[in-house]
Amino acid sequence: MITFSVLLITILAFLGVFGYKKYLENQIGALSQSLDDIKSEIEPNFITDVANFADRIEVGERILLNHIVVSSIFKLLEESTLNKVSFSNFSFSVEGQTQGGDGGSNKILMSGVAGSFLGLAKQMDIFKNVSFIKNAEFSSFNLLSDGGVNFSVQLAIDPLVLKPKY
Amino acid sequence: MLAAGAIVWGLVKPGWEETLVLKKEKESLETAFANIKQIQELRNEKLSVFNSISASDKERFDRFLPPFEDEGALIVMLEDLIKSKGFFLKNISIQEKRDPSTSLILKGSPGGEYRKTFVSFTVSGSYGMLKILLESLGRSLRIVDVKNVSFNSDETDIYEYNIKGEVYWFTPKNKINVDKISDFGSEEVLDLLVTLKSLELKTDLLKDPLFNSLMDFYKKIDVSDDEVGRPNPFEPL
Repeated sequence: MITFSVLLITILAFLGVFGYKKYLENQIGALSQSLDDIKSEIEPNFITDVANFADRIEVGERILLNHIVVSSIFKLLEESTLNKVSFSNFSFSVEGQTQGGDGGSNKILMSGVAGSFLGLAKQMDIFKNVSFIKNAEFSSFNLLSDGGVNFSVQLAIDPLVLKPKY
Repeated sequence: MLAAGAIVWGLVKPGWEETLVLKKEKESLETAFANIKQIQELRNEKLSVFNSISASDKERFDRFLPPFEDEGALIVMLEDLIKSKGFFLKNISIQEKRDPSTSLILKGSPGGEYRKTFVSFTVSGSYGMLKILLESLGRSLRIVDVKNVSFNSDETDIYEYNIKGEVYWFTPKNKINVDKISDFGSEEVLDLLVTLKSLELKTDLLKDPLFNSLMDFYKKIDVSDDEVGRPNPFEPL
């Protein structure tokens, strides 16, 4: 009786293991098929395109943030120049990088002539008090025979002036 | 008892060992399946954002920041813009180079190949025309950051202006090695999952009023068949 019971349990164990193995094989087959089906839908190339586009957008945002527009400088200069002062040359330069208009060095170098020393003093006063000019340095004064005065000026421009407006 | 022992030793034990291997394989596939399902969901989520961007917005963005160097199109655009404002274009030069300072301006940006193209040109025209040209350059969709402007005034109303600027382009670095993903080994799947989780597709720029106020001066360059071919390329024109 004991022998028969042991044999029966052994046969049942064999059938159990065999059945469980078949079950696992079926499960693995079904999972593999499902994986293959999903894999064909993933399209890694598409994901690469989206990732690249996302990177380009991020860089684009930074480029737009740092974009500068110089045209507004001339309007501000026109509004800040005495009608008895004339400039004979103009040189504008951006040195260094601007970070959203908060950095960098934006300079204007000009040579000009004022009708008199009084006129030059008035022009100095204006340039030193307008908000778009952070610093104004006048130099190379030269009295002309007609009473006029030659001069040079270096202006440090507020980077915010260069921010684009829409 | 002997028969039972033989069955256990000869059939049940090897069968059990095989099931243990299969069980491990099944668990591994279940993990891969769960990860790939997550990838699929994330991919669908990003897809819906990407597809919500119109083709015209994508094209406009390509003009704003090309993924490749486009010197020819850039020269044609500038020449067209300069001449349309009534200027006489005396010369124009373009120099592309990698500038280390670009990485400063783009600090913290995603990996990729940054390039600046330096443009410089000399034009002659009136002071009023200069202001209009600089205004147009500032409003160009293909961003031109004017960094230098110089000129001398004289008795006439027509001055000669030297203008220098910078334009940018950017080629992203592929974060995903597509070839490696083809076999969907667990490591590659996890890499892809991490990449997708960190991928944030922002579209705010495309709705930015400043971006939308920029004007597209791009001019498509077409070469017709009858323009190509010359028996003696060295014969004067």
